[in-house]
Amino acid sequence: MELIKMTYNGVEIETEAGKPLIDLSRELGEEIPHFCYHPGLGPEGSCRLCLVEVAKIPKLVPACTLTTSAGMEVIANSEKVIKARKGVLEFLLINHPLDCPICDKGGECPLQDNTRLHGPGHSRMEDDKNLNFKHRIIGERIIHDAERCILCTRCVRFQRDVVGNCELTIKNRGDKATVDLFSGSRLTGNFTGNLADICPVGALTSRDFRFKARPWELEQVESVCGVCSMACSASTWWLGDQLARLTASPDSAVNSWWLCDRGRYGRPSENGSAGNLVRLQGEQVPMSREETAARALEIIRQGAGSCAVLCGSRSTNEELASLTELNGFLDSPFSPFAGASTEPRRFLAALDEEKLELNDLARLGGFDRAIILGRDPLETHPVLALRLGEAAANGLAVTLVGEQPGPDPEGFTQEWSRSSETPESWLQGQGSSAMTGSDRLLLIVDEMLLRSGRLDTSILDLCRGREGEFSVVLLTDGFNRRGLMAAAGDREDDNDALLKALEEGRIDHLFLFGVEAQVDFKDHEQWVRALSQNGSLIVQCRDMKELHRAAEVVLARRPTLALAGSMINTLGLTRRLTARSALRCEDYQWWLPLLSGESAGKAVGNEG
Amino acid sequence: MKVKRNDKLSLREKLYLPAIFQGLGITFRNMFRKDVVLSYPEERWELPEGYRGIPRLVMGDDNIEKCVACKLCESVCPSKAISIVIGEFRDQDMRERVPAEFQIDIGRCINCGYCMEACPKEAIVMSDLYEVATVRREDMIFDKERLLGDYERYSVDMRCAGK
Repeated sequence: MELIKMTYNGVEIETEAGKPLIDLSRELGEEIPHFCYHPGLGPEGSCRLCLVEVAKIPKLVPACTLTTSAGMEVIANSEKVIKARKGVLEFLLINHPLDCPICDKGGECPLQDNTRLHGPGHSRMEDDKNLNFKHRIIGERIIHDAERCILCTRCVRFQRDVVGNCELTIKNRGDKATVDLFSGSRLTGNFTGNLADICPVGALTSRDFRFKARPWELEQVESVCGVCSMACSASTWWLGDQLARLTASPDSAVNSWWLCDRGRYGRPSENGSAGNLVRLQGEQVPMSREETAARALEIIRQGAGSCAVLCGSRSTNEELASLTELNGFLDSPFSPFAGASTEPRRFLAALDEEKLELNDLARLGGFDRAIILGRDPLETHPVLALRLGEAAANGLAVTLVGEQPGPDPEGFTQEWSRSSETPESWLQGQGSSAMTGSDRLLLIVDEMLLRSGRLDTSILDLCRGREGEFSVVLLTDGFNRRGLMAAAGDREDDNDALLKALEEGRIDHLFLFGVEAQVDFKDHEQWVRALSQNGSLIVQCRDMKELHRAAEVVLARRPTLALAGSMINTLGLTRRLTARSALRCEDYQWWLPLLSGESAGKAVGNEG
Repeated sequence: MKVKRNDKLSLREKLYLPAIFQGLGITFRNMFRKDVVLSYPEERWELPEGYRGIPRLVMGDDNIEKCVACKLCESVCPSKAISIVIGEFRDQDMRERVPAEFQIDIGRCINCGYCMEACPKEAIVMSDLYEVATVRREDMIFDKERLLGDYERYSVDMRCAGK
């Protein structure tokens, strides 16, 4: 980027050329107030709140549409500017109802903040405010209050420019103008929750969070979403020990400004845990954490030699490290990592050798063709599909090759070319020409194809054979599958030996930790059958309800978003999980006394 | 530090009698003055305008409480006496939001009146009630029904609660 010199509020500064003045002001720490501009949506220039004075331009100009250039002199705090802001806010407030006490946005509302900082202290309006519909349900997730709307069109532009399905529009003119759906439709798609995030007033609010709490009561913690292996940056908002909501945090490498609804609202693995249970004379009895841990330690001590550990993709890297140590202590010949198959690990090692992996989605714009082999990412990793859609609008050609029909294509994904052939036959047939036909290629491979042995590292040879650069993304199932793979290293073990030993009854005790059965086991039912006929089972998972009943000892497991630690996401980035302040430590690791040789009574109490 | 004491009394002080009569004089003068003490609880104090007793909730003209559960009083309360649970009103067109639960722990309330000042709906006001003594702490936690109700009646109840 070219650096230029300009003056801002009388101070000479050096900055990049072509940057919106609002972004510049934010970097300088004195953000110009605005409503319609959003860094993820670009400028619109409709709210007029960001008007500033620029030398040699007779009228005030909006700071969102104006970009920096050499020699520019901007004054954002002159009397003229302050008067303009006051005037704009007075107009915006003419029809804005005094709903703040009952509005979910109240307390974190840009309109409240800007009115407090720049607005008039009172209203001169004598006529009644316009009436419009309130609390109208416009989608599964979103409720619409038209009276509160200030017509910034952020929502309209999000649906049009980001999701690409144009479901919202501005209807009527003048003081009758409202945001509305096209007749007879409802908001669809997997990204509607973002509308509540970006609305600068309380016009679009989340039904899920409606009247749940006021923002100032919540503890905001920067963490990651805990659903798929993208691990998008998100703020978790805690009301006491309850997770009240999730909002997107900006992160250009992964999720830009957005979150999908599945991550925001669906927390599938977050279902209640059974608590601490110990089997006494055939009955499972609730017990304290320490008593339960003591019983588990007793079992493991007795059974040393025929005891195995199996941890799944809902474990953090730190927990995996500790459990690897435990597995070594128990002398178990089996790999303790469920679902870390050999072939995907080989594939990753090959990528690693040549630094072929793409781990920054901000670089998506640098490719001219993306080929997705496997399931539709709109289903498995929705935010990746959204990012690909954004890039597709700027000229990226996306091809999806997978025989499984995904969800109905929505928005930008409608423009992807689709092939219903199997990836194997496609690669043999027209795939080779498609791959050579582009200069900079992005190959996105579904881990499932590698796990089931349908594809292997030889697809990289196909890419190597062509001219031009290429990068690869491996889409993994399971939250911390990449962490599991990293912990497993190059050990050639797909858990088949353990499954066989279980079925033959050679394992007396098995400790299951953080397993998500549907994604960690190749054949889920076979595993459940093998596990439930096992001698004694110690379970510390939130998933696998059917095994909780068969277990000898059940230990409470925290939900993913209440964990503290790190994980590796599907792009190979190490992401940090941070829980609310009372839980900023690891989940209960009752086996630590075994590793450090202490007595069971001194179990390390490390749960908040 | 050494303190100098006047150990030697004068003749007048040695006699005691003048001091006794002086004291009796004050006593007799007050015997004929008007009483300033009330015979509480038979007699009651007439409260001045703007007296801050314990807070109470106000019922609106439409027979729904005026409170919309905005939680401003809860956040401003310096002794954390107020706790509110937000609820949706059954008829959303009439009113969107009401308190599902509204509790004030009178044992914690310090009658500062901040809640009344913070309220955007004039839904919480300071009442005249100052008699809050009970023998059980649970009785000090006023729920929504009680806060909206007739405090006169409750004040009698409270006096009887200990018996």
